[in-house]
Amino acid sequence: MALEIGFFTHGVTPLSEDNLNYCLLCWGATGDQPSAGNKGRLFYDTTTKCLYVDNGSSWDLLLTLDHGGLEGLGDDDHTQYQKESEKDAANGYPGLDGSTKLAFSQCPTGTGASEVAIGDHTHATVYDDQDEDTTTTGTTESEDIPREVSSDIGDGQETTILTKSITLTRSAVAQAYFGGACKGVGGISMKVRLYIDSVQQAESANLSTTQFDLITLKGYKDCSSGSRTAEFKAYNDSAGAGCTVRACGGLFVCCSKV
Amino acid sequence: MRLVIPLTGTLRADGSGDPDDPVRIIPVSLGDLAWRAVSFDFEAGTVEVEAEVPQHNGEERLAYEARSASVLSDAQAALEHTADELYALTGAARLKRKDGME
Repeated sequence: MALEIGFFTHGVTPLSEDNLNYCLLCWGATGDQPSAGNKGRLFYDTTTKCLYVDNGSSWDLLLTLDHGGLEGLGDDDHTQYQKESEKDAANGYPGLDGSTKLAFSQCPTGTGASEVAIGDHTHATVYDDQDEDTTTTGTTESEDIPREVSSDIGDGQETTILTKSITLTRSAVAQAYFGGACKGVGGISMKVRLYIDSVQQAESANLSTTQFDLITLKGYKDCSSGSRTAEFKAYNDSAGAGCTVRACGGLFVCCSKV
Repeated sequence: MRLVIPLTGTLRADGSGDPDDPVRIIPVSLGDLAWRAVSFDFEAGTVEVEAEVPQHNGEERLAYEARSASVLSDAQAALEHTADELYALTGAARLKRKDGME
């Protein structure tokens, strides 16, 4: 059974246009709610814990204690909201770093169109070893000559100062380098040469007879498997009899796969 | 500067030279220049080389450039002959082939 109580207001705007200066509040269980028709009347439903207002023809919901009774929301949908402190992998939402930026560790990586694009950046200095294959083509060999004097060389003749070999297990490019200081003795047309497998690859200009020249010789040659030999030689380019070459440096031979 | 120089010596079937008669350029006087091989044409018996004149220690740039141009010009002139003439002038034998090569 509904109980109705009258309230008198003091100094406030009347609740309705018919200048009523009071409203009626009644309460009871859902089944006790009277029919609408008394505009401005209030009813508190003790079953649903809702407060209604009579608009003259029906009851409008004014207040409710049930979250699910709010308009525009589903029942108990507050679980979809998340606190600011609830982020990262445990909750499935990425957080921001100290600079309010998304941490890179939380971005997708890879090469697809939906992946994060990488901006300007610096690579560490590393070797791209895709063409290195020392395990299957052979090894690198080198040898130094602290100071070597060739034997006397006649005009147009040459003599070997240093030899170094590697063994290729399959076809490869053999590369040979000589770097060092050389000096001609006895004539101004002494030169040095570099060979790979007895095929001449390079030749120096005339060596100075007064000082050691810095000499670099290099060559490369497509080779099949087997032992490959680099040779560093002295050459007498019409310098006359009794001439020699003094040299110190290193002979380096290596390979790369074809 | 690129130069094409005839070869002498003995070439073996595997592309290597005979250690007793290595494949090398003919003893033509190229002067005070250095070179490195760029490509070999064993059929023609020649090697194409990249030639340059090293600068001496303390040599002034203008003097070096003049000397370099002169040396390279002389080298070019020394090679302005037919292969037969160059072999005849140097006394070198043509490139020989060994182990069944033609």
